[in-house]
Amino acid sequence: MEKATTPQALLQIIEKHEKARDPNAVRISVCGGTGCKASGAGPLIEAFRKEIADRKLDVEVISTGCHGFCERGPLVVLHPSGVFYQKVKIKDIPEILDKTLAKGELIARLQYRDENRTVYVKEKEVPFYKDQERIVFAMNGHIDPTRLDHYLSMQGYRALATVLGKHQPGEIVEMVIKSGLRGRGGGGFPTGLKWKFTREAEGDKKYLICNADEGDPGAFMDRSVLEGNPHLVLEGMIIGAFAVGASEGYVYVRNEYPMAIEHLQLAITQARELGVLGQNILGTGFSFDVKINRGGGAFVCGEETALIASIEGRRGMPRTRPPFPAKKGLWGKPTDINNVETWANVPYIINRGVDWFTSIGTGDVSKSPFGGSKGTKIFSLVGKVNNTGLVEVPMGIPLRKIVFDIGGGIKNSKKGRTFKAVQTGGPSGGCIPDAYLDHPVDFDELSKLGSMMGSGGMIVMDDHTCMVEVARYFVDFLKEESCGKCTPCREGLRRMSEILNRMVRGQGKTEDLAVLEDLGAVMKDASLCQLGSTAANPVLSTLKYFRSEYEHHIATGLCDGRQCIDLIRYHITDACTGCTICAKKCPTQAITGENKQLHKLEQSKCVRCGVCYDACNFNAISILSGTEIREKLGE
Amino acid sequence: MVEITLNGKKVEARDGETILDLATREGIHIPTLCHHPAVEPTGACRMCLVEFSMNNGPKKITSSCTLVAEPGMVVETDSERVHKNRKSVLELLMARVPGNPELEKLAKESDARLAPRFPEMKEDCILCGLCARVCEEVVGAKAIFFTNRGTELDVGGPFLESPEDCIGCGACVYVCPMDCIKMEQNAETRKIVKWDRELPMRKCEVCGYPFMPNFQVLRFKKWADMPGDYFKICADCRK
Repeated sequence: MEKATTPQALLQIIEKHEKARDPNAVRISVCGGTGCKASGAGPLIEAFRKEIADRKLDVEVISTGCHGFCERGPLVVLHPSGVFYQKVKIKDIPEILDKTLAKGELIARLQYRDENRTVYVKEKEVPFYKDQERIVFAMNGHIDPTRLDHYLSMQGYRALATVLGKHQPGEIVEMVIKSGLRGRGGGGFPTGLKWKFTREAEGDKKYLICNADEGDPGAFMDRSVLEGNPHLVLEGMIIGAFAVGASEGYVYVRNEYPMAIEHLQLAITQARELGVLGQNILGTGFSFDVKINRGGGAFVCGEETALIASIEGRRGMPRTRPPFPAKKGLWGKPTDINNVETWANVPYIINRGVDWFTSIGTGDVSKSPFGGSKGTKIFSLVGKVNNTGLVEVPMGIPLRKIVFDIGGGIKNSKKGRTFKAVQTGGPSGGCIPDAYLDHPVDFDELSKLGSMMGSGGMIVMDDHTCMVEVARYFVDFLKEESCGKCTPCREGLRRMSEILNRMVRGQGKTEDLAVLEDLGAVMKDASLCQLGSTAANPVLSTLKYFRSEYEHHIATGLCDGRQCIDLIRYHITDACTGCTICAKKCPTQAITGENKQLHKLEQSKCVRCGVCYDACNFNAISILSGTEIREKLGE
Repeated sequence: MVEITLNGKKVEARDGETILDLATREGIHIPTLCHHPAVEPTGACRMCLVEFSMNNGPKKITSSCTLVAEPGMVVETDSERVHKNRKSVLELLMARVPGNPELEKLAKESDARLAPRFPEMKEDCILCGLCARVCEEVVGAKAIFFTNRGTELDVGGPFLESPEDCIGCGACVYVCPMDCIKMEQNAETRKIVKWDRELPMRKCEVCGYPFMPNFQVLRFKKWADMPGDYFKICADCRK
């Protein structure tokens, strides 16, 4: 790659690459994200390349970043037609080349079909993608993240060339404030204001940090952005460094993300070669360089002051704010710290303008960046929905649209499963019930519901979920991941965990609910950092919306979700046809019975694993709880 | 000087002064456990909570030992919300360390529950970390520190074994608000019981009093570049 020595020269390089990209060229995009690689995308890409070389075809095979629809991987998209194939295997390659590529014929078994067996031809027509607005993810699926020329051909580094060629740092800060961009890592603090505070803070040296310590269970959006488009994050950081006056930057990324680290390291090397990173960037006298700091995987290190402590080589324990990192951060110097997704939004805001960005989302940010939520947000949609994966949606989209349109509704709805709650914001988020599904998703609305945006975890739960067990699960997660420094968080979580673990065993007491609320109140108010002050959300929100489930656990030992194994019994009803499948599958031989005879379940041998329930094709196994146990089994 | 409003009264804070120091100077009592003037504040125990707001913004609860006075700050040390939170913190600490006189004194002072609603833990330490901070910031030995995390958090030497860098100075014994770090000493040895650190003592060549552990002498000579015979006699005999 030739080195650009002025912003003008960089623009010329970008234009050269943009022109070189033929939109009508035949290309095969194979998702090379971690999800698809886990389902075999690595060898698939190699096989595609070999087959195409053997046939001497003029077709480029691109190993792209994550497309988001991970559960259907490996994903393949044929360009320019846009034909979308899912769950592609190596043995499918000749057929794809012979039929689809050569003749335009579609291969039905590789096409995506929804629950109603409707077939969708193109990626953008698939319901999972149709209602998404992919901005941060726009290039994922088109470019090879290890190729700088791919990034350049899609306007890559154009924003940086504009900024360094035409603007003063203060103008960029103003622009980001006006855009209403708010922190995507969870807090939702206006990014532009953070930049302004860092810029105005006194210090002979300033730092910039990209927080890629994604710790929420099941969340992987930052990982996918870094893996699929590392230059986008770097470009955002370089623009940010220019705006706040930082000369050194860190990307704090989990060591469990090897591909993200590899791609980012490569991108840093390429950016230095291009002349957009390092000393005297584009001949403007502005210098900035980036180091990668690999984190050990502590959840609390996503908290900015703990993250800074960790970079400094100390224990990842938060300290009180103020002083905020903008004033006193890394090594005591002014430090701007933003999340991966936040940085990735910056180049788009510069390229397409503030008006474009504010046209997406909720509220009015013309007077204050707190006035609304602008742009898009990536969610990691998981749980009991038909379509799981990463979804990027405009702020303000109703939860119902995410769960039922993009997510394709509740899994096994034909077997009677219904929606119960959606948990947003990761382990410290809250559970939102059906009644609030039409609420718009933005920073302020989710907070009003007792949940939060968080970094974008979204777990959908069906009617077979026990909300007390959900609260217990998250409290136990946080109990282990809290740093333990301050009393309300450490001792509060300990006591919440004791109570909830008792409750799911049917040993709850009436007074427990008031104690849980008291604990929630002191944790929320008095904890040292955001981990502690939000840690009670799973408990408080389920107490608010699903209080009856707690009361049932205490009063009659009824687990509404039929999940708490101490409170349920499996029972074979008269509907049993004696097919013997449950008896064969039972791991503890608790079920006995002759062929075509009603089977019997020996309760003392049953470990309540639910294998029989899932195996039965005749709905002959019921799960009893509460008073039903005495009524039906006489226990 | 910085003007702030403290309990409805305009007061002048010194530059960089914390609300805890300012309140103490103004004669307002704020209970503390993990605070000590010799070390940097850390805000761990959450006893010294106050309610504050900036420029009529939302009221927040935070630790006064870490909150530095800034213009436009309005602080309440005596509000209902402050007391409610302090009492809850005390209840949690008393369930962890039952029967501790210092905690019981604070509970009586603040009208908190004397019988916590949780199973007793029978610990003796509230994990305020003051011992570790003194050891690092004042003594410079860095012999003890926090280890593990979450509800498993503990304090002690590496791998919770007897800390080899402990010089037996007893600073941790002196500052511990729970009085749970005990020191035992006889003519030959000194033992810091909690850390299981036992060190032979040096006797003064003049009066014969065992005035300092040998290991401490070694470290002091190294740190302070002292002459070889400086620690042969105790401080009293040197006068």
